[in-house]
Amino acid sequence: MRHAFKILCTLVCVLILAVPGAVFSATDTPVSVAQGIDAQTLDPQMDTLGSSTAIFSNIYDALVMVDDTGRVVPALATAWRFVNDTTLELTLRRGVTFQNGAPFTARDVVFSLQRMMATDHPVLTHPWIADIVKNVVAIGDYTVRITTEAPDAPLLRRMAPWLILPEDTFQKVGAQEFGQHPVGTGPYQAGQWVKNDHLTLNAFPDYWRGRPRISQVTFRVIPEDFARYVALKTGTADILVNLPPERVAEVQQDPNLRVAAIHASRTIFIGMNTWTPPFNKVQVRQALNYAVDVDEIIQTILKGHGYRNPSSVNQTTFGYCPTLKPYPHDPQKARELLAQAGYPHGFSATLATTIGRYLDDVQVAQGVAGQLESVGIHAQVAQEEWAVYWGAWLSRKQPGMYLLGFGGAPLDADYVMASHFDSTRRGIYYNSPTSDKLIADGRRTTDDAGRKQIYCQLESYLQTQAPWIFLFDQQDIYGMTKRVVWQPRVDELIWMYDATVQ
Amino acid sequence: MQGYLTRRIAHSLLALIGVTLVAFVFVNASGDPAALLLPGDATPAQAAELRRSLGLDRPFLAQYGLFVWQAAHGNFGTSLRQQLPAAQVILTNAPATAELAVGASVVSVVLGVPLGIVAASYRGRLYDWLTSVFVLIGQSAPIFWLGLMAIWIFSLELRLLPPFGRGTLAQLVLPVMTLAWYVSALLTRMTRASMLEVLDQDYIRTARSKGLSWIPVILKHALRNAAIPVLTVFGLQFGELLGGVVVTETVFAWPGMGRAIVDAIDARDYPVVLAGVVVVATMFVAVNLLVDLSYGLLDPRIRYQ
Amino acid sequence: MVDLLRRLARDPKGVVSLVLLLAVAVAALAAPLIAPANPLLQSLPSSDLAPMASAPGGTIHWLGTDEYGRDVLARVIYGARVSLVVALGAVFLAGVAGATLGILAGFAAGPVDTVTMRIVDVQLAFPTVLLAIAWIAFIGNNLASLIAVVALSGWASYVRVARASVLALRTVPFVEATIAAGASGARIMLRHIAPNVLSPIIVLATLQLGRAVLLESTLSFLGLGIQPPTPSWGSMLADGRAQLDTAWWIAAFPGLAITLLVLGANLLGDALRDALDPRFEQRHV
Repeated sequence: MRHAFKILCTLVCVLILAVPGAVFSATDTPVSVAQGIDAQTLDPQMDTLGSSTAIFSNIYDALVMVDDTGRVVPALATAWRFVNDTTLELTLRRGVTFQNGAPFTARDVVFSLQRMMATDHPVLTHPWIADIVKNVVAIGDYTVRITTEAPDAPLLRRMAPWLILPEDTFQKVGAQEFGQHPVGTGPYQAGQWVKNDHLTLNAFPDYWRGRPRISQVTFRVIPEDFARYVALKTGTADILVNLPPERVAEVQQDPNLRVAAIHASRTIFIGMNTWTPPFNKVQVRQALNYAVDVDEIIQTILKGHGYRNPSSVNQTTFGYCPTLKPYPHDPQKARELLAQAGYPHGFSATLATTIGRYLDDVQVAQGVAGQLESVGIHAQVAQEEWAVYWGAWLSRKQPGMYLLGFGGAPLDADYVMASHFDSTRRGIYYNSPTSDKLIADGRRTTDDAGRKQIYCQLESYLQTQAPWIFLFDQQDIYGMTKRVVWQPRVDELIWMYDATVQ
Repeated sequence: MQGYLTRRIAHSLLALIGVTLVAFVFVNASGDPAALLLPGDATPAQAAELRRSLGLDRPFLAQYGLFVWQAAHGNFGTSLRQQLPAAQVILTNAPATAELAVGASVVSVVLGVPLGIVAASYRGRLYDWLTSVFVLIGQSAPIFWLGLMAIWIFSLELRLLPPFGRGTLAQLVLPVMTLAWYVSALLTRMTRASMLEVLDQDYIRTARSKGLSWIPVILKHALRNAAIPVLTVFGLQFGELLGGVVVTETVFAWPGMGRAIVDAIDARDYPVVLAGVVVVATMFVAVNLLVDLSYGLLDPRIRYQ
Repeated sequence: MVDLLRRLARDPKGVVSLVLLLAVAVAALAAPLIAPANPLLQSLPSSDLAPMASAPGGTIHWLGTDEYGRDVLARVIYGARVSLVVALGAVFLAGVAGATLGILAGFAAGPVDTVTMRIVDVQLAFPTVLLAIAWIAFIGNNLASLIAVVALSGWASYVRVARASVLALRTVPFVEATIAAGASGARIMLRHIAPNVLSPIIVLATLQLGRAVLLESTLSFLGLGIQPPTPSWGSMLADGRAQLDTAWWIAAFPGLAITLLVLGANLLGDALRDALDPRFEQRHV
């Protein structure tokens, strides 16, 4: 018996030791990117998660792209002009082929946009185009005209995430098959996809910009933070998305790794239901802004990895007003305003927050609640799972304060206005005739300088009206192995075209 | 025997229906899948439009009724998120989970039972003490903790084994060992307790005192008697094992059914949740049926009830 | 009862387990008196200090601090409260409900029995973790909900154990005689059956105690457990997992506490099983 046991032990030990990670020998060409979630489908119109769109940018192209200075640059469209203030004419690039050899023409653009516009069994990206574009027509093979319902200045920036699909291929194989075996014009073709494990992308040699330098990119799915970190440390992942701030120092000190941080297009704020007391009084809303010490929150909870933002518009976005001054931290003033509003002893309210959806969301909510306590406001932090939170939010059922993040494409001030302040679109927790008018003006005005002026007025007005407690813009932190040369992007896409390996 | 079998199967079917009803109620009534699918700037009207288009605004009973009808024909509907048949979403991930579950079951028995026997035979000595430590850790450390410790020690510090993914044998080791620990611990304890009882019996003591080699004695008599409680524990623990699979798959990024179901619950993708629950519950019921049947084989008294 | 305690005292397992459990109970009850600091007090300059290190202010943190500068020892002591409340609450709830149902099922037999056992089947076939996720998604995330979930995941075993005891007892001659003599069902259940069911139920309960704490920890790992900043051993373990390699003490000490609790509960279960065994005197003379 003793004997048998010993043999068993030895066998097990040998098994463990004799099968070492050949996985650890650094493979030269393939580059791995580690994220926490997998794409749901590779049909870009049926998956709107950030981690999915990050991948799609490699398989598909859009008509235009936004570069890192915020300018709109050509992609599948080489030139454009406004025929009149509701019609945009685009000249398409010639000689572009899809990854299966099919030629790219105007029909593909019309098909892709019309699919987004369809109201019968709408695709998930329908909200991006709904009520904006009236129709789209092809004129010959290389010209497209897009007509909008009303003059829409942000149109070009809106078009950056509208990825183009091959009409013939799509019609032939059907939506379901296409979602598993996609075809685009982008720098990488989808290779092997093991759901929830990895997606391999192979370089498309006939890509119109030229063949990508890295021949193979693998997107790995690793849900657990610690395991992702270990993957980076051991070199099995080259790029790690969302490196926790606590790990930054360590990664910086590691000779094989480096950290890349970027001012993200996402803003974290605390909104309020301004239809319900006490938030219906502007003095209360302003008091909240005086009471919160945003700099302390950024320093202590985010360890400095955040950018104070006094406005409702993200600082990397077109239309952000740089001349706005933040509310000073002034608890005394806060108490005065509360007294004026009829709440000399403060009040109780809910502060709803998501759990782990945004970096340190719960901790930020707790931190803010702690600060509000000192002026007599008892904020009850309610942690809600995303599905519950969002369902309530969208039905206007969030009763008091709520912590939320907002951002991404399009990088235009109109985006946040439409989503949070415009009564004709989604301004469900606050709206006013003054802001509505300014929003409409900003959307209609075609020259950039004019728009910026209008948005400054609008943001200043919103700051005074304080429908939000203005907090900060996020910092996106990426960990990388030194062998990969890649720059993070403001729009959070993991675009691998111009990445190289040294 | 046949009557027993038919009855058990009928009961199992009832249990399955009950399980799906509970799952349906929970998932459907606690969140709106349409709102979760749409991008962050969608309006309430657009969410309502999508809900209508997906048939989610019909009355609750109608939806459940449709589900049962379709399920009886093998159709579990289409995943709201992945645009694929829900059954396919679950079944493509099933082999990975089966790998873990079977691997862990085998390891836990192969490891746990002999350990229990050895511990009982060397009661009070070093082996017994070491086994107690093994059992204690297995029973008091949550699976995610064991998994993370394993990743830390074997992947980060020792660079011996890969920390995630599936494909090579090396990648199977850590997840299976982690998952198996709890059940091994339980089996070791039970086996040890049973063995101690048996070893205490007069006839064993007599045999040993007579100088008869005790290995065949143990194997013949002790194991036989230890088998039933061990099997019981195993059957009951299979449910726990399946629960542990979810955690293990998350920690080790193992692309299995457990993760798929949890993701589906988070997204309120109820066709996938229901398909997954049915598959998991069926697995559980099947294992328990096997366990019950083997009781019949091991103990003739039960057969004639 | 006194007799039982005496038996336990003679068994080394019993003594050790009682000492451990008593320690945990004392920590939970007397937390405000014994804890060296406020478990919720954040102090950023003192974050992530190793055990026995002194903070800038001069205070010594015996078990170190976490990433918000909170004293780990204080959190472990206060954590006993939450962990015990959840574990004891869940086990008590599951035990009482399960045992009652089991006795009813075993005694009443017929359709009551069949229906109860089918419901038990449903609950057993439903994977615990998924049930917890779905339940909390449905009901909401708070302490009562958590206790309910942990209880819900465990009550079935009690039903089976209780029912098995009742079935075994029914055929015992004196019970049959009592039934034949016309005694009411309730009387039989209370006077004869319940006390005998009690022992295996209690043994099961002690074994389930550890399981309850582990489930609480797993739920925290999945983001469904005790909400911060309230400390519970399970949630401290889950929170500390991101810093395993750098600040191991944040999770190690609550982990140790859980281990001691589970050890105590298991030993108590074993000792109780021995103590309630009619052959006790044989072994412990």
